Amino acid sequence: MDFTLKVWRQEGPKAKGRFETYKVSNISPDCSFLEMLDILNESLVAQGVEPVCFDHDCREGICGMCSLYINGHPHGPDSQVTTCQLHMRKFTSGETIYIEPWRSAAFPVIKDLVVDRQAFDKIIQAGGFISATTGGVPDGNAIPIPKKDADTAMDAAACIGCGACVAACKNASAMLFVSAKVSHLAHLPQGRVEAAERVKKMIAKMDELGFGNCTNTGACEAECPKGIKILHIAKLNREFLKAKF
Amino acid sequence: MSKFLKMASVTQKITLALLGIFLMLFLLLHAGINLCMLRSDGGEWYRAAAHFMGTNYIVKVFEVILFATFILHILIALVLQIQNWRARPTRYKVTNKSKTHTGSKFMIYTGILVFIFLCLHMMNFYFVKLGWAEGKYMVEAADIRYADPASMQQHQDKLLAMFSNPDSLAVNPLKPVADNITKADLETVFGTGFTYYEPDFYNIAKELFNNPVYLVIYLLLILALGIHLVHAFPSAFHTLGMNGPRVDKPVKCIGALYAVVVVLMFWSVAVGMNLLY
Repeated sequence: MDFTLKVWRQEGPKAKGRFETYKVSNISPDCSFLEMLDILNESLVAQGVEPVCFDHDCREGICGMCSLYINGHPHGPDSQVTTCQLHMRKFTSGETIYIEPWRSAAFPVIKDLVVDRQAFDKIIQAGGFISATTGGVPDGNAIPIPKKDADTAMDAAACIGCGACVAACKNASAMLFVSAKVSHLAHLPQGRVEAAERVKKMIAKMDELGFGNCTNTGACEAECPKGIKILHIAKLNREFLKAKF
Repeated sequence: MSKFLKMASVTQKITLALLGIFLMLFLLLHAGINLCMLRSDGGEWYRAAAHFMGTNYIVKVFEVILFATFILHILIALVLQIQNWRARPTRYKVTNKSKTHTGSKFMIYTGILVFIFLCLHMMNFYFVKLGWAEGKYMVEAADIRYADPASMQQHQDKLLAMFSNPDSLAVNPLKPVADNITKADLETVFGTGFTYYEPDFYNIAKELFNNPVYLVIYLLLILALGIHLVHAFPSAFHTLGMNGPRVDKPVKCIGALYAVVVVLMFWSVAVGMNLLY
């Protein structure tokens, strides 16, 4: 398969970026999107051109490191996959593919397609953890948890923190990410005890970092590679109201 | 204002949602009163309803709350929207549609259209009631309530100064003081032989709806209101945390139904007044 790539190139955080056009050919349909970029970079290195910077790590769809806003969708046009798990067979040969970094005031571009997602770490540091002492390792079933709650917590815990929700949101809001973390811990007895403090602190940090506000549009849910539902945002709102009164 | 800006985003959103729900209830009431216009009684029911809304004390309290609600709703929405715009300083080159809630992307724009409509509406109706704008149509007031002889006494000099010629009451009968006094009280001050009037909103509305340009603008702006409401209803409940797997669909359906009913109520009165009367 052959593709024309329009790739965002930016020297550094302060530099003015631009789109560069590259052509890649003889790409296998079974190639992942990142492998296609590897092939592009190899040819760029051979030509003596600075390779395109992009984030990646596990390439198994579980680390949340890969990003890329591909043809107007975070993680590309396929649903519920990360960029590393996106295959080139989802595109048509000869297609022009636009590749942009996540765009958000809270995620500044470091270089090319790499953005600084430390803002998410800061939100987690503000309260996305359990500090209540839970003692030694108890029997797995010592604390009964209703199946429904366990399932909901697990669904929320599927969030890999990649930032696709922020990238997809027209307001660059981090509400889906924050709600997944809040909902995950609030559904479990160990997390319950600190739920009120957690939700207030995480929201305060999220606001401070310059993310936008949720308008209940649902673009985050539609684009989330892990299928996190915006019902968690309703849960976050409930938790916030509970924490206030 | 700065304290207001420092409020947590979710607090602002919850306030916005609560204010929105109050406004949605008001819309139903307003649309219901409008429907009275369609009754072929020459506007009798509608005038009675307008008179009640214009004179009842409880309604007057709600009127103040309503204005405060409108202002706060608009202010909070603007603050949130400006933050949202600032959250993405660089736009994407290519954006594609993902499956999202219709209307949610246009809330600020439909909101601005509704605000324009509100201004137009105030100029046509509310300012006339306040006496700031001249009412083209007046109707004899059937009943002026809240007679209070003590306040009557208190206002006597003021009244006499204001209306040296009792006939001027017929020209501009809506000076604020005239609101708290009865026809009989006026007669004791000025003697008989004059008439107390109030704006005839039925005929004001009738004339406006029979103006094709106004009618088209009205229908379009009500449509904008409808688009605002389709998202507003489920969104408000979602923000208040009243959403879950079981209520997600019903809330959206009721929201869409509410928006359609409100739009049809306002539209039917406008079109009905144009065609029937």
